[in-house]
Amino acid sequence: MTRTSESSTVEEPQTTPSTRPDANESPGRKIWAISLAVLAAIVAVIPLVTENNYYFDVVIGILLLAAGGSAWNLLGGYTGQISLGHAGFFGLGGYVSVLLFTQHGVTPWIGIPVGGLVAGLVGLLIGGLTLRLRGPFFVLATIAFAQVLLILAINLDDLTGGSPGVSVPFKAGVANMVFDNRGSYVWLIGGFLVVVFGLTAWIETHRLGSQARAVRESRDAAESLGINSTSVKLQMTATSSALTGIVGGLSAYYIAFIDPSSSFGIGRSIDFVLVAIIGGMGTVWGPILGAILIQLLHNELSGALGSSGAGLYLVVYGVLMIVVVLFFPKGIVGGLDIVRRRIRTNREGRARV
Amino acid sequence: MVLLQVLVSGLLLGGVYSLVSVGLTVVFGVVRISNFAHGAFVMLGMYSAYWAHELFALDPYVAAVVIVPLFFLLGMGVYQLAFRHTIGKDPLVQIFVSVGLLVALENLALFLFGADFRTVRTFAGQTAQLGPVNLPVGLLIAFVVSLAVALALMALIQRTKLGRATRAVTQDRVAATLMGVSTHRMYSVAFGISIACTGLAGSLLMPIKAVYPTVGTQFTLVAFVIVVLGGMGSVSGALIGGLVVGLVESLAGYYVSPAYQQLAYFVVFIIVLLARPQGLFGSAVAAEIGEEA
Repeated sequence: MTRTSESSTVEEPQTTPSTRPDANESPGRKIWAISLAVLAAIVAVIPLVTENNYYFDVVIGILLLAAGGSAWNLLGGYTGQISLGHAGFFGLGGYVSVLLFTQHGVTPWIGIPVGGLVAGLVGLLIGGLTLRLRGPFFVLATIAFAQVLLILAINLDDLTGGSPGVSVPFKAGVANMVFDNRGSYVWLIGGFLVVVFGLTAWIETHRLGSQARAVRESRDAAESLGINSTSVKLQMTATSSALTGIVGGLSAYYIAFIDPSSSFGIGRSIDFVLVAIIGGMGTVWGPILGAILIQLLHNELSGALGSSGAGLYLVVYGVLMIVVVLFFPKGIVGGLDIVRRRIRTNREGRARV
Repeated sequence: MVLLQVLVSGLLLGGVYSLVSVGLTVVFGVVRISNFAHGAFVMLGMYSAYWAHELFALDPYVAAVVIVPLFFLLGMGVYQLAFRHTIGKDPLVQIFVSVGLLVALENLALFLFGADFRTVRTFAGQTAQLGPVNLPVGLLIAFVVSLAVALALMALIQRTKLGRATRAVTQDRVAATLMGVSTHRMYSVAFGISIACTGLAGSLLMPIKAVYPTVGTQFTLVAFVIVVLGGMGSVSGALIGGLVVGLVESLAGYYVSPAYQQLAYFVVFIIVLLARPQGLFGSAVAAEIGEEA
């Protein structure tokens, strides 16, 4: 089970010796600070330039997908541990925050972070048990984990309300995270995405990110350099699952409803994987670009096909996933990189002449 | 007497699981391709049998005669189109390709046939009485056919030239190629056999179980559970593993609660993965599963 470095963003000095020294490392912390400011500015401005609820729904769909994809990316993209069970963390975060509110009156401002914490702790536990599994076996263990939670959520109906799900009571007010103006959700969820983006960029440019990538490429080589691979994997798992739990909480409050199959179902896990793959695994921007593409594609296709097209856009996603993985393993970000490099070498070539 | 009935039902159910798993073990265990879309092909097999019955009034057992060879070709086609390009690449590529295939197939079924549960009524819906025990005819037939197919596949892998070539490729792809075995042809045939098994399983399941687009997910999971349980690549392991899982599910349904039937084998699965990754019967592939090993 050797790994060729298909999905890496770091190890390719042999193919591109001198053209992109900055991109081989990380494009500098300053660039990430600027990117972060740009993303924050976009999020801040959107509710000011439109009041159209349809646009808000589209934007919030993108933000939730991007945040979930980015959280998955920390474990899947950077560390190379492919989880198809992130729906488990998403649902845990959602259920904890919603049930704390409906049964104990705890405000979501506390409930959602608590949900994230619970998801993170469960992630740590599951990670401790399963991270030694390789390839398909890790994937299977994560699927089984989410399935177990799905079955529990359906059957522990005294606690969870069972299959029909739970509605978040509509009590407008900032304390209940129920806003009259949908634009406020853009700020809330967008703000969280900015945090996730910043965290990913921080990890990318600091030691943890380099260690994670080293573990992904070769655990043995990483260990021989003195990297504690278990510790690195656990840190990334805990961060990834906690962030996913928070996404679950935000999503539940945004749609004011939560149910077992849409929270814990494998479709939810696949969504996050899909945006990360299509955008570019193991890159900071990848999941965000992937989320934009997927959400817009979804709206276009369902607009064009109407209700008769139920399921058809997902057929397109499935095929897209296969094509991207086989032929564009670095996704959109990888594609943009190639274009950028070509432009740069052209320019350099011309300068030399 | 109730216990006897529970045990018999579990064994019969396990027979069907065995058939699905034998198909999976041929690609996952023998040629080491992880196909998470395996269950989706069972779903396709069920729909094929359903439409053969609706459109041409064919009994699913008769339709199987046509479905199985078609699925063999389908499997080879899927290998050539998609999985062929994953050989020698990062193992993750294979996982994603099969997940993409799963998403595409399930939703294609949703688009074409809708989310309705569809059933077929035939003589196989009856129940035979053997002493104190009820034997659902459809389940009994599925059990017997599954056993026969598993035994036939075992013979194929152990005794024929094709089987020897397959095992050679599994053990050392490069050496096998040097000995004149065509790797891609081998993989392609293995995939064909695997998908043919799902076609047969689908035809056998249609008279006893409703079909809907996501019916395959549970089969995928069960089959992976069984293949790991039985020891990767061992057809006999998959056969016995299937029976064990059928029994576990049936017993858990009776003694714990039907709601927790599936929970039981997921728990068994996680325990097996963690504690005994080489499977219950111990073919040593632990090195590929646990890093410590």
